[in-house]
Amino acid sequence: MTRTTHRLLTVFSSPIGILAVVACLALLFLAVFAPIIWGAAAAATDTDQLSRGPSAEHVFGTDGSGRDILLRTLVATRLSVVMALTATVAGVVGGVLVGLLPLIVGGRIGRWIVAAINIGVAFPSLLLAIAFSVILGQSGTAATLAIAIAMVPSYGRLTHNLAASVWGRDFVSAARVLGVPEWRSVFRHVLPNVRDPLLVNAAITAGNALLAFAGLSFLGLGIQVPEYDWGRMLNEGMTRIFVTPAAALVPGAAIILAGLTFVLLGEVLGQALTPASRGRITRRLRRLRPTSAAPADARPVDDDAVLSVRDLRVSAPGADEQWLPLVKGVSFDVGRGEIVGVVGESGSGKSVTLMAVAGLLDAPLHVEADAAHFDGAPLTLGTGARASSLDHRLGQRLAMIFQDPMSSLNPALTVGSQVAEPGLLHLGMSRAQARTAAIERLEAVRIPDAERRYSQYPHEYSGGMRQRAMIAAGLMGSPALILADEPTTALDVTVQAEILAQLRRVNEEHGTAIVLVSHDIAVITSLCTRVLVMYRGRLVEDVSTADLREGRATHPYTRALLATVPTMTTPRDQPMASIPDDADFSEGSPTAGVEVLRAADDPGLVEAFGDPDRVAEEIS
Amino acid sequence: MSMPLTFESVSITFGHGASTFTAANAVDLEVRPGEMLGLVGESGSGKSTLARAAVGLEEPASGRILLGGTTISHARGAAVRERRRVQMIFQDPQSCFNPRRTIGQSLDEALVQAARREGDASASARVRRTEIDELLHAVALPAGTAARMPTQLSGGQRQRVAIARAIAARPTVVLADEITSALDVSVQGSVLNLLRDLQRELGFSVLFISHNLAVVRVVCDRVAVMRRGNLIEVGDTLQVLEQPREDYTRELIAAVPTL
Repeated sequence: MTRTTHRLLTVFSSPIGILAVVACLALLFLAVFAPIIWGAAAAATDTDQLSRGPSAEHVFGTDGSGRDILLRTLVATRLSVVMALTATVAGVVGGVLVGLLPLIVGGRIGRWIVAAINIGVAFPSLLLAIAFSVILGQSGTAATLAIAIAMVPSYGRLTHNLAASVWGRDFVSAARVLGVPEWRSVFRHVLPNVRDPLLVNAAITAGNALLAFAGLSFLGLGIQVPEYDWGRMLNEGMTRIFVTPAAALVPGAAIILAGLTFVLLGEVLGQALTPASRGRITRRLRRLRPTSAAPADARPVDDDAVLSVRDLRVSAPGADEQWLPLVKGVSFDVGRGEIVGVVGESGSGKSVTLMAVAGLLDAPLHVEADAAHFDGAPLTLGTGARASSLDHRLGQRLAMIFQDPMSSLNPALTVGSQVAEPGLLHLGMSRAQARTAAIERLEAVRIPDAERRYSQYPHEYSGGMRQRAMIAAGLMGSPALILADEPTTALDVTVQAEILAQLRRVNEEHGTAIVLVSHDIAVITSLCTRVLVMYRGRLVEDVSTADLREGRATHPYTRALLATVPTMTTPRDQPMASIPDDADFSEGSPTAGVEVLRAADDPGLVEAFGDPDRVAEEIS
Repeated sequence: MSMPLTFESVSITFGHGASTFTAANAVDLEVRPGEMLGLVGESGSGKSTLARAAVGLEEPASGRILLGGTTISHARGAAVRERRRVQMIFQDPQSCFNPRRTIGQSLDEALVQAARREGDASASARVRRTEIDELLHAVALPAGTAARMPTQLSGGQRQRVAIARAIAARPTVVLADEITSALDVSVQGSVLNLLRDLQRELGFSVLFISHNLAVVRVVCDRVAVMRRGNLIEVGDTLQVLEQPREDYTRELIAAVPTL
């Protein structure tokens, strides 16, 4: 909550925020005090000065009845703004209720309400407002009601769309399973979570209501004489626009200014309520530059390795204008044709390391490395530092496979054209050549009937086939290295085995090196020959799979991690091994993790280390 | 208190006409009192849908679901209250708590509903506060957790709170839907140990939905295998995993990665 308050303060103290606040205060002041201060003066008719131009006495001149245009415009603020806001409040409340109702009643009636909302949205809201205004009669109240009614369908739909997505989330399901009545779930769990976008829209809607109201009054449907709002003044002034233009232009300008105020307020609210507005903080942070406490790795890059990275550091802007280190000086080599696994928990920096190598990290993240070498040439690692000349080389020699093949393939394009794309982009193939090559690659990754499958869309592929298509796209060039980020996490176990086998085949047939990132150490050991273990942004162990299997891992974290993986031989009558929340295996206190385990007195945990005393000795 | 949860020829479909998708096809399954029954199968095999039907989040197209002698599918009135004895723990710890309410408020909601179900209107806010502390203690979280927001907790801690919320409803059956698949393997054990301990202590039964056969093997007494909406094999865990009757089960076991 305090973070939202802080954000509100930040946004409202920006130039645009100050402008919005000042404009709102001015509008509020006029709405409250203008009729009190100038009410009588604005009503006074000066028969000597009918339809006069600007003069010292009347800044913008007088209207057809000899009344001061400026004063009348100021006084009309109250009626115009109050009516618009009343209509907005009524319309928004009505729309929110109508939009939430389908969730509360559910079933067939709920679907009918949604259908009714959709039909309502089909009519332009101004048309609805005019129609209802005609039906309800010519008065300010009728016009307010008409505008409110016209607002209900669109606001109802907005509310329903937002609310329906929240309604499907697990915490609402949990409340329903507990037996919380639907209406209470809606007001307790749904409404607070859709409040922000509704508020932002309400401010913008108020601007529209103001305009609609002026429109109705202009048409003679809204406010009636002797009362007047800006629309009414516009109506009266319009007839003599060529004689005294100010009579129409001044209220017109007032409508524009007030409308802009509401839109500005909506904009500022939007900035304040969406957490994305951190540009300013980030800019300031960039000047501060993260300082690295990590000891520099003095080893030179290995020219023979396909990938060699020295002292890679990645930082993200954190709270309180501090850089938050994600990767704290990581160095590693990947030999030609080698399959290396990177394992670690969420937040260990394993994926970030991979993305940094692929040059996929952008601001606000900060990337730095002492040195890096890829495929016989230096590689510049840094935020947005990738030279364009390298693009082609990376495009041909480096392939990347992501976790979710559904989101890494464009659903609007055929799979084939996406597999063929690197051929067109990096290899200078013609369209026909690229197509032939792509079909070949699809066959190579065992997509059945590749010719026909080429022109199918991603949704026509199963999850495993999509992932194989991604591998095929990577094989279009002749990659020296495939970076695979959790490539099987979203897949079923049987499909997982198949994708891992595919990667192994690519490695054997083409000699392509692979870096496989996974949280699942069993996936890593089933494919890789060497394992890098990451923990809290550092590489804590570089061990061969064989040593790992034989229990020759030296770092306590690696050993603990291994012990927590359940296998088909894990004892069933004992508690499962796990690492407690407060365990710390960080460098500098290598026995800290063991101490935690001893204190936790959890047989499952102690099991992870064998005898803690012995492990402590071993490490020290 | 201990009652079996029985699925009697339950079919669940989505969509209409030609595009009808059968998520569960005439499934017969019993969760016996006090047992931990594993339900395995690939994504889309209908495991979660079956569980969601038991708590009323989906309606079976045919067949019925019973808790003891009460039909809790298509429930009205008293049967709806009875259905609250079946509770569910969800997969994603990110989305199973209202991000705008404290952990204490979320637990309190469960306690209020449980008190209301049992006609125990006397539970005052003060009593419930004590109960919240007890619940947090039961899932090995500090009492101060009640005042925190869900985003301030780790995934493992949130899943512990999710277990606390389920037991706050004094359940007969708990449906655990892939409750550790979004967690790091290093905390998985502690969440499952906790569920197992509480189950033994409180005597509820668990339908443990998972795609991880190694985990199912450790924690479950019996295991059921689903494929494309059909229940293809049920039996004692070791028997099914060591001498599977179905080819598909054998395939699943063979696909488990080993260290």
